[in-house]
Amino acid sequence: MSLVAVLSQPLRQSEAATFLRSSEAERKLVITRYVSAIDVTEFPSDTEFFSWSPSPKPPPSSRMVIGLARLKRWVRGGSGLGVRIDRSVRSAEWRLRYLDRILAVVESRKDSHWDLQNPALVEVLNSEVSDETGTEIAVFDLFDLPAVLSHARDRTSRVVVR
Amino acid sequence: MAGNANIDGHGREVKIQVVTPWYPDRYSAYSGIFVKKQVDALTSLGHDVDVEMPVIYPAPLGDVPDDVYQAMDSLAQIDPSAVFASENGAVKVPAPVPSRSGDLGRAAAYEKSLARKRFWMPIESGITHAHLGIPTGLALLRLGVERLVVTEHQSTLDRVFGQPGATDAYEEVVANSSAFICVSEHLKKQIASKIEPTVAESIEIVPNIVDLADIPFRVRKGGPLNHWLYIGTIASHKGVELLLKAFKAYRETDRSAVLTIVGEGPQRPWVERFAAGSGLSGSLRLVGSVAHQAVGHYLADAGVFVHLSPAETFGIATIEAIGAGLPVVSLRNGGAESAWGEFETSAGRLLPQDADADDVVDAIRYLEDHHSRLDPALGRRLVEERYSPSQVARSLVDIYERIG
Repeated sequence: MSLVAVLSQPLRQSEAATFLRSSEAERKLVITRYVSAIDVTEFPSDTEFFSWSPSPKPPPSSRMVIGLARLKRWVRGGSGLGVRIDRSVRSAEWRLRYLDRILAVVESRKDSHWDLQNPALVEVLNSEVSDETGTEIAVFDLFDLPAVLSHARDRTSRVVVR
Repeated sequence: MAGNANIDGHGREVKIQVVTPWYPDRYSAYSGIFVKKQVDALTSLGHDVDVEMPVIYPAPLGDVPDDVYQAMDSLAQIDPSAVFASENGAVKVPAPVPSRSGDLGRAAAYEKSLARKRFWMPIESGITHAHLGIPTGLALLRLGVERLVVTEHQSTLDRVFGQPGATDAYEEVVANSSAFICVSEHLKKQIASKIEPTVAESIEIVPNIVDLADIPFRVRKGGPLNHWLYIGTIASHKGVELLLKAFKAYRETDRSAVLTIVGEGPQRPWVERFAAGSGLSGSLRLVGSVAHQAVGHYLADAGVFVHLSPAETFGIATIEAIGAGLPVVSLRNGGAESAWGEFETSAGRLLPQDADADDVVDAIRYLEDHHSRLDPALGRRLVEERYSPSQVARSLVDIYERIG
């Protein structure tokens, strides 16, 4: 039995990780846009990760968020100044996440990857998810649901929103 | 449903539909425990309670495309539980919320998703009890729900009122709901300062439940209060920095002092490094999150409860500590002085908002020197009388009956 978590945006990755951790499925898969934008350490060690985007790189702002996270760990050294810097960094991270969203919307207008029928995602689902009884595909980003349903049509996989 | 249906005093069961964005589930075991306790208390009185839990699914800027809703519908048509999952007694209602929507945008998203959920999984008519004025209360009001009771708990109301249009929308909820409840006088005053005073007059107070079933009462002898306890989120907005600095100052005069912190949070790495840098590591016990049933053990073990959060709507943790017979040092954070009431002097010390580490240490020293002035048995009794599950549930049922 396979359990597949689909989340193009990584914003609900903690929920996806918790969902997979609580499952006893023989095979656990995560399908996302950029694997590099996901914190794979949150997920069970036997999880397989697949990306549907042709580019393995996260958007520039995501790379900056990763850099800021390193800075944040460094400044949490116990000083009051560290706490203040920490707050500024968190504020910057939120702004960068908004920037990500804006970039995503801009991209959606010129990039078929953000087509709700998302053929790239459907292709990965077709190639990696076996059509066997008991396979469950859990959608963590509602914008992925149209594409996942188009994959699951005429298949035995159960699709759920979680 | 089974149960004692006579306790509402009218011999009939009340059908209650709770709608709350906070409820414990596998993703967040502590979120909305107070709502769950209300549900459990109402159920134990014989009432029929169902729970719907709107869940935010972050979406990109702009309108959510119809294709997303159509996909939800086509899946729900085959298998409603595939879209609206049940967990821990609550049915989850996915609500796609575009980025930067604000709380009014969340309300609109909740409204749309609750309408969709109720189409595929209808509810029985009865009382609807919403938790949070905005977004939940507003969403249900716009859905045309009648016999709507709204409870406000949120500690971030200033942020809500700061959004364009939110004050008018909030006033609309207070004015048009059948009953509007705050968990503390402090919160009521906060709302009353923002909306039309005549509308705010109708706001009622029903406190949060403080369940002492797993919290034993222990009589303490006088002596050094050198085992400090804090239970709560380890975060800057909870005053954790002041807590550590005050403990450091106290420990300079009592090297055997111990601070136990029960809870988790984003500031934990800071706490660990501050402790290491200040030579406190051996005196600091970071327990992490524990089940609520285990909290009584830590309360029984401690000498004083220190809670330095600058803002609380109610402050359940300090009330539980008082119920355990533990002296408490807290800031005047709004919720504390509302909830402690007249047992302020018999339960511990309330400090001004701008108290520093030395003020906290002085308060502990005062409690050590004036132990006989405390009356922990009175504290326990008052907590049981005012905040027990059955007492709070009866207050709610009185309201349901009145509007029913």
